[in-house]
Amino acid sequence: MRTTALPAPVATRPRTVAVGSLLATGAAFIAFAGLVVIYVQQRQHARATGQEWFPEGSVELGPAGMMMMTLVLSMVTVQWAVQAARTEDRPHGFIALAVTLLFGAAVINQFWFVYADTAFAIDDGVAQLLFYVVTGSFIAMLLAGLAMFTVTTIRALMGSPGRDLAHTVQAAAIYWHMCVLCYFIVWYVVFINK
Amino acid sequence: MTLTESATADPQVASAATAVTTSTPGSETQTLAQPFVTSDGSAIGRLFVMVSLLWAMFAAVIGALVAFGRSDAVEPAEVFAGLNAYFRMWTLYRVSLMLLVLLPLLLGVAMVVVPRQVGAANLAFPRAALAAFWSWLIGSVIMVVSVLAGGGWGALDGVTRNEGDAMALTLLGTGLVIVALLMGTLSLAATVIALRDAETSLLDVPPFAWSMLVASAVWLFTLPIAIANIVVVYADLRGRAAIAFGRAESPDIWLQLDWLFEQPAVYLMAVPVLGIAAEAVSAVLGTRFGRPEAIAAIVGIFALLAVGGWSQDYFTAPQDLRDGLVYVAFGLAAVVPVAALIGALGMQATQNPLKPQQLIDTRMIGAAAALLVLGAATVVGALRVIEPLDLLESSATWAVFHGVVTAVFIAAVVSMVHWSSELFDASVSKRASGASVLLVGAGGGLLVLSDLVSGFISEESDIMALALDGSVLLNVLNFVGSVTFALGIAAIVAAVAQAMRVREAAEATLQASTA
Amino acid sequence: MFTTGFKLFFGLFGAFVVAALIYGYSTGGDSVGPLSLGWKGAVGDHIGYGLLLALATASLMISVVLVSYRDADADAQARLQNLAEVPTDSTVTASFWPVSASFGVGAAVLGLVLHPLVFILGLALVVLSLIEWTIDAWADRATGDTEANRALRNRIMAPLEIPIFGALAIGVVVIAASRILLNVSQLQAVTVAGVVSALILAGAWLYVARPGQSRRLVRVLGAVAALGLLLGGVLAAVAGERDFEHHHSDDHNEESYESSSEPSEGENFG
Repeated sequence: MRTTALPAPVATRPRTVAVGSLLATGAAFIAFAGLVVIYVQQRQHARATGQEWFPEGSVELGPAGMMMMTLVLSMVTVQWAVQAARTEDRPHGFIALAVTLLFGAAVINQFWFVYADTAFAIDDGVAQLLFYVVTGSFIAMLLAGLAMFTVTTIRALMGSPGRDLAHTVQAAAIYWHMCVLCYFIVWYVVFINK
Repeated sequence: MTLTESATADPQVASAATAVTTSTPGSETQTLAQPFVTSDGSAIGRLFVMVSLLWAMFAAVIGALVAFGRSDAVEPAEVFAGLNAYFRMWTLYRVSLMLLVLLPLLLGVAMVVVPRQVGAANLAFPRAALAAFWSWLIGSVIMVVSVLAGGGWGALDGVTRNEGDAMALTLLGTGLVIVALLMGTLSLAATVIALRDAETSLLDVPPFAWSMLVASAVWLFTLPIAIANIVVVYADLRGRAAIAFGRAESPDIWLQLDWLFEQPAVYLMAVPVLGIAAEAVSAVLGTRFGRPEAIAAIVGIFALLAVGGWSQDYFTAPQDLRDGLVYVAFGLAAVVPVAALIGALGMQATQNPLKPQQLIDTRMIGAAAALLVLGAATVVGALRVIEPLDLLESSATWAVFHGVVTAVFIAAVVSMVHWSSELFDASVSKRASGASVLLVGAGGGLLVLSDLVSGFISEESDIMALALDGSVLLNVLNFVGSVTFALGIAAIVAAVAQAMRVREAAEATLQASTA
Repeated sequence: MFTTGFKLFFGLFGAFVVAALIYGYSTGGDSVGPLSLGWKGAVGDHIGYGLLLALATASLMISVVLVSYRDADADAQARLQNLAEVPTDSTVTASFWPVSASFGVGAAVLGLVLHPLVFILGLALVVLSLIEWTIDAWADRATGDTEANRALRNRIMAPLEIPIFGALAIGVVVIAASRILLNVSQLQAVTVAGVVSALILAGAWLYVARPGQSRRLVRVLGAVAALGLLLGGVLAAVAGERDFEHHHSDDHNEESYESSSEPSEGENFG
C-alpha cells in the first residue's frame, strides 16, 4: 500500500494529550503524597513514643544518593528526547530514549540492591511495611513513566515527517519530572531523614 | 417524507424521532456491541447515567433497610443477620451513594452535555472514557459482591479468613472504582480545557461546564488520597496478620476512609450542583446571569472548601483536628458561597415578576430545592465544627452527608430534565421528575433532621449513629425519610425508563421510514 | 496576560499554602517549623500540613503549565501548528480494546486475592489490550483515509492476531469442552457431544440453506454459544472431574468411570 498517495491525516489539537497528562500527573502526585504523609506521621508517632523506626545502620544513604543523581540525569535526557522529537532528529531521539531507559532500569536495579541490603521483611513492623509501600509505589510510578515515555517517543520519532508529535513526548516528560520530584521526596524523607 | 410525517400516532415519539436524526455527528448506529466499542462520548455518558441510576435503586433499598435497623421495631443485628453484616451494609450504603451513584451520574451527564457546551465534537480521550466506564462497572460489581460475600471495610465483631479475603477484594474494588472515575474525570477536564472552540475562552464556558471543570480539579485532588489509604490498608491486610492499618476484625479500615464522606471532602459531590442550578434558573427565566465571573468565583471558592483528605482524623485525634483553625474555617466558610449563589440567583429571579409556569417548572423548583438543601447541609456542617456544640463525632456528620446527597440527587434530576433531549433524545416526564424532586427532597429533609436532632441529644459518639437515645419519633422519621428518598429515586428511574422507551420507539420509526 | 486556568489553579496554590501554614501553627507547629517545611521547629500535624502542601505543589505545577499553554485556547493551539484555524479533534474509531483492558484489570484485581494464575492472565490481557489500543490510536491518524487506516492497521496486526487469537480460541474450546465432558458421566458425555455436534450441524445447514438471514442473529447465537461453553467450562473446572477408578492387571489397564461428588477409594485424579 502506498500511503504517500493517500490524503494526509487531519491536524489534531496538540495540547489535548499534554493537558490530560498534566492532570493525571497532578493526581498521581497527590496519591503519592498521601502515602508519604502517612509514613511521616507514623515515624513522628514512633519517635514521640520513644520507639525505634529503622534499626540503626540498616538503611544506607549511598545507593539512595546514586539513584537521585541518576534520576536528575534522566531529566536531562528526557528533555533531550523532547527536543529531538521537536526537530525530528531521529538518531538523537533514539539515543536519548535509550539512555533514559537505561537510567530507569538502573534506578530499579538500585532499588533491588537496597531491598537486598536492608533485608527487611514487610511484617517486621510499621516502619518496614511503610518503607515497602512508599518505595514500591514509586517503582510502579516509574515503570508507568518508562512505558509512557517509550511509547510516545517511538511514536513521535517513527511518525510521518512534518507531523508535530513532540507534544506527546512533552506530555510524558511532565509525568517523568513529577516522578523525579517524588523520588526527591523519598530520598529526603526515607533515606536522609531516617 | 420527513420523519415528523411518519405514521406514528404518538407525538412524543415523533419528536424523539426528530431528535434521533439530528443527534450529534459521529454518533454510531445502535447495535448490541455498541456499549463495548463506542468512541462516542455521549454514548459513554449515557451508559454512566443508566447504570448509576440502577445502583441508586440498590443503594436506596440498602439505605431503607439500614434505617429499618435503626428503628425500634428490630435490633440492628437482626436485619442483616449479625452486627458485622449490619456494619457492612451501613458502610456500603454510604460508599455506593458517592462512588456508584452520584459521582458517576454527574460525570455521565457532563460527558453528554459539556462537550456540546464548549463546542467540542467529542470527549477528549473517548477510548479512555470507555475504559473508565467498564472499569468502574467491573470495580463496582467486585466491590458490591465482595461486601455481600462477607467483605466490606472492616468489622465490629471478628472475622473469618474468607471474610478477610473478601475485604481485600472490597478494597481492590473500591480502588478500581476510584481510578475509573478519575479516568473519566480526566477525560472531561481535558475536554473543557483543550477542546473548546475558538469562540469560547475558559471564562466564557457555561456555568455547568465550569462547575464540572472545577469539580474535576477537586476530584483529582481528593480521590487519589483515598487510593493512598487503600494501598496502605491493603498492603497490611494481605498475606499475614495485620500490623497496624489492615485490622480486618475492627472498624479501623472504615475509619481510615471515612474522611471521604465527612466534611470537607463530602462537598466534592456538590460542586456541580451550583452549575446546574445556575443554568436551570437562567433557562427557566430566559435570561443569562449578568456577571458570569461572579458565578465562576463562587463555584471556585466552594470547590476550594471541598478539597479534603488533609483532615483525616484516623491519624490525627479528632480533638486536634477540631482545634486546628483551618478545619473550623473550612466548615464555617462553606456556607458563604452557597448563600451567595442563592442570593445571586434569587436577585436574578426577582428582577422581573415571575410567571406562574416559571414558578412551577420542575427545573426551577428543583434548582431552588437543591440549593436550599445544600445550604442547610453547609449550615449543619458549620454547626458541627463549633466546639461547644459537641457535634463533631455525632450523627450530625451524617446529617451533612444526607443533605449533600439529597442536594446532588435533586440537581441530577434537574439536569436530566433540562438536558433530556441531549441525554435521552426524548423528554423526561415532568410529572415523574417533579414527583422525584419532591420525594427526594422530603425524604432527604427527614434524614437530615433526624440525624441532626439525634446528634444534639445523643451523649455518646457512635460510629454508626445507632444510639438515638430511645427517641422513637426520630427513628421513625429516619426510616420514613429513607423510604421516601427511595421512592423519589424510583420515580426518576421510571421517568428515564419511559424516555428510553420513547427513544427506542422513535428509532424503530426511523428504521421503518428508512426501509 | 494571566489566563483563567492559571488564576484558578494559582489561586488554589495560594489558598493551600496559607491553609498549610495556619494548619501547621494551629496544630502544634512552633518556631519557623511550618515556614521551613520542618527544617527548624515542628510543623504540627504531619498529615494535614503535608497534604495541604502537596495540594499547593500540584496546583502550582498545573497553573504554571496552563499559563504556558495559554489555557490551551483554540487560537493558541492553532498558532502552535502554524494553522489559520484551530484543528477539529479527529475521529476516533470504535475499538474493543479499552473494554478488553478493563476486563483484564478486573481479572488482575480478582487474581490478587483468588489465584496468582488469574492475576497473570489478567495482566497479560491488559498488556495485550494496551498494545492493540496503541496501534489503533496510531492507525486512526496514519492517513486521512479511514479505510486505508483500517487496512494499514490490519496489515500490521493481522499476521500476529490471527495465529495468536486462533490458537487461544482453539485452546479455550478444547479446554472448556474437555472440562465439561470430564465432569459429567461417561454416558452423559457421549450424549452431550452428540447433541452439541447435531446442533452445530443443524445450525450450519440452516445458515447455508438460508443465506439471507440476519447476520446479527448468527452473531448473537455464536456469542451465546461461546459464552455458554466458557461458563460451562469454568463451572465444570470448579466442580472437578468425575472419579476415575484404575484397576491394574498384569496384561492391561482398565478404567471404570463413575460420576460422583464423593472421592472414591481408588486413585483420584480429580
